[in-house]
Amino acid sequence: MALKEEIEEARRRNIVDVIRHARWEAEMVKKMGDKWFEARDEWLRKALEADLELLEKSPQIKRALIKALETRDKIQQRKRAS
Amino acid sequence: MESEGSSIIEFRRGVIYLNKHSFAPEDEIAVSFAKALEEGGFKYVIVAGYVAILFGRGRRSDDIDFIVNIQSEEEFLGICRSAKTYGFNLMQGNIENPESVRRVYEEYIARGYSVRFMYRGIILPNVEFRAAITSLDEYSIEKRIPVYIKSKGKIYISPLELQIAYKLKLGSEKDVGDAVFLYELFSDRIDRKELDKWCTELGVDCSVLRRGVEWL
Repeated sequence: MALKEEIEEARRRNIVDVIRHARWEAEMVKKMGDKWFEARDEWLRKALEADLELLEKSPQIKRALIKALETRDKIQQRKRAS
Repeated sequence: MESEGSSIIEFRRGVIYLNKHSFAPEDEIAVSFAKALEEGGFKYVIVAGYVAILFGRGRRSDDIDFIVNIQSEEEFLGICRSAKTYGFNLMQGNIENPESVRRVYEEYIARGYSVRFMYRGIILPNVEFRAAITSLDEYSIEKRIPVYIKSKGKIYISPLELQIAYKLKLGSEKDVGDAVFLYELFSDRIDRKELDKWCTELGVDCSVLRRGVEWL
C-alpha cells in the first residue's frame, strides 16, 4: 500500500473509532443516567484539580498557556477575517 | 430517556430538564456566567463543544462558547461589572478598570473577535465570549433552548439540529464525535427535516449520522 493510501486508511479507521465511541457514550448516558454523570463529572473535577495543582507549581506554564491561547485566538481571527 | 419523572433527560414544552445530581466544573462556569448575563437582561446562547459535554460526552473542553446579543460598549461594561461579581476576570484586560474594559471592547468585540473570561483564576476551561454578528448567531439566539440543570440553574443552548450540522461542517474528529453523540442521544427528538435543511445550507453530508460505520 502506498504511503498516501496508508494515511487515508489510518484516517478512516480513526473516524470509525470516534463514531463508534460517540454512539457508545450516548448509549451509556441513556442506560446509566445519573451514574454516568457522577463518574464523568468526578473525572472532569479531578482533571481540573490536577491542572490547577500543576499551574500553581509552575507559573511559567501558566504564562505559556495564556500566551498559547492568545496566539490561537489571533490565528483564528485572521482566518475568519480572510 | 424522555417525559418520565426518573429520566435523566426530559423534554417538556420546548424545555430540556437535565436531572443529574453531580456538577462538573464546566457546568459551574457556564451557569455562573449565564447568571451574570441574565442579571443584566442580556440574551445569549451557548454553542459548540460544551453542549455535548453538558449532556454527558466524555471529554474536556478548553472553552465554553457564549454568543451574546450586545450592541454597545456600555453594555459590555455592564456585562463585565456583573461577571466580576460572579468571580470572572478578563484574559485580555483588567475587569476592574473601565478604561481597560473599553479598550478590550474596541479591539476585540467591536471587530467581531472573541474575548475570554476566566472563572476564579481558572485558565482552562474559560468562557469564550463574542457578540452575535452573523445570521447563524442571531438564529441560534432566537431559537435557543432552555436547559434546567437540576437544582443548579438554567442555561440556553443552540437548537440541536443546527448544532449537529455545524459540528459536521467543522469536521475534525472531535467535532464529528460531538455531532454523532448529540444525534444518538436525541434521536427521538431531532427534527429530521430541520437537520437536513441545515446540512444542505452548510453544505455537509449528514449520512454519517444515520448509516453504520461499515460504509466508511
